[in-house]
Amino acid sequence: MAGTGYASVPRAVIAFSDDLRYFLTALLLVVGGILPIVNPVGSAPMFLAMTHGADEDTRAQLAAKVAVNSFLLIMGSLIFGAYVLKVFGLSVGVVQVAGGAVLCALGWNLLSSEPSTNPGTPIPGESMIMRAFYPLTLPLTVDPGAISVAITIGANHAHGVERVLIAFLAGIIGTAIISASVWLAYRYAPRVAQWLGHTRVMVVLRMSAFIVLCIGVEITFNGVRSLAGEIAFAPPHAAQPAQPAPAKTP
Amino acid sequence: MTDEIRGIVQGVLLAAAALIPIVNPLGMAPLFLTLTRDLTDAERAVLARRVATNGFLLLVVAIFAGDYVLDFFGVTVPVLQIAGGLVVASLGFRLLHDSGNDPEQRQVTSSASLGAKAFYPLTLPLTVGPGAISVAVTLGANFPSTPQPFFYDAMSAVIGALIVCVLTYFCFAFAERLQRTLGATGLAVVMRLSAFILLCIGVQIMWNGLDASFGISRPRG
Repeated sequence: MAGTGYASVPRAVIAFSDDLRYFLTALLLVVGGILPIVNPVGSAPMFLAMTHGADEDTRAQLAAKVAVNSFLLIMGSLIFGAYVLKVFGLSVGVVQVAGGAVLCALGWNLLSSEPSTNPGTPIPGESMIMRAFYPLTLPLTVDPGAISVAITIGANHAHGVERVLIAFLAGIIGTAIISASVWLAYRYAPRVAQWLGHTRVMVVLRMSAFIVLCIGVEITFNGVRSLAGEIAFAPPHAAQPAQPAPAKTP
Repeated sequence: MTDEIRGIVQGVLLAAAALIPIVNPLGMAPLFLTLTRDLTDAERAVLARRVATNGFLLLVVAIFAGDYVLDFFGVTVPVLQIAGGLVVASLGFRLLHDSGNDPEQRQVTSSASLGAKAFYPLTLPLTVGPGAISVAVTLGANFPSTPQPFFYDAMSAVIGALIVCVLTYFCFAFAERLQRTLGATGLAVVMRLSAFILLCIGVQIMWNGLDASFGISRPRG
């Protein structure tokens, strides 16, 4: 591995810098691949809408819980995702179709809910905490798109024990960075809302609900396309137009 | 004789290995728990036994009569998968959105409707779903027609189904230990994840049905 050009540099340093480069690549892959999809800043208004009526303390608690949940969910998808899919005989496209439909339903409900019956008729703190995983973490923060990216990244197995350990470390640090940004964005969302004022917040909420709906459609469409991609190489006698896949909204 | 025993053991393993990942008793236990959350432990154990019995009968019927029933109604296996996948997906969707005070699920409390609930939704789409039924139908459709090999194959398939249902019974009957270990919040998380996986399984079964009925997918390799 040590090229002749590095003759003057000690071997250990070269090996170390090689590992470091590998580590940075893996870290960038995790953070760069998943963070834009999780998009904590974009999800923050939705977090506000779903926790409408909760007091400051509950929200701070929820932000921390969602961040921890996201960390566990992304790490779980990175490490076990591919195996879980194999055990249940699922393909990534199907996860995208199903998850996209769930996200569509969430966005649709938020978009069409009346302000009075808004997701937020004040809810007592305890039942709010129960919502920390669903719907706040699972379809809202770590959406099926992020899960499928995490599964794909985790499925690229590194070779050698050392590389696996490095990739694992990079996964932990990258996921920690993502959850930390989720925590920061959700923790300080109420302040931004205060600064914006009620009317503007409502506008931002509706806009974000619509964007969530669009993201849901996008994920479903990606899933349908990857499922339909299996059709692309069909023998000519069977080359019918792709069937509309079972994308369903409730 | 040893050859025959080996054949039966292989058949049992084949049937059990084909059915267990699809029936997936361990993964469905949190969902079973959610659908029966108002029952006492004793009632839940009774229900678990009934679900396991129902599931066994359903699998045996699917193995032996499935082919003929489908033929009689002119239904093909892919269509069964599309329709059944839809049912599974909708159950998964409902469980995912389950807020804990759904009146339909409160009905489980009254023990009169216990028996009715034991079949649908607990046995039919949850335990023995369309995936398991289509596997069972396929198993039955591949039986040889001569009497003696038929007998051995049939016996091993039935034993395989029995193993799966006994496993289901144990997973469901001891589901409340899961609750105690995980705590309320942990169980809620596991339940939502299982519901999401159930939704995905439903969509996958539907897609498999669509794929098979149009036969346009390239062979996976």
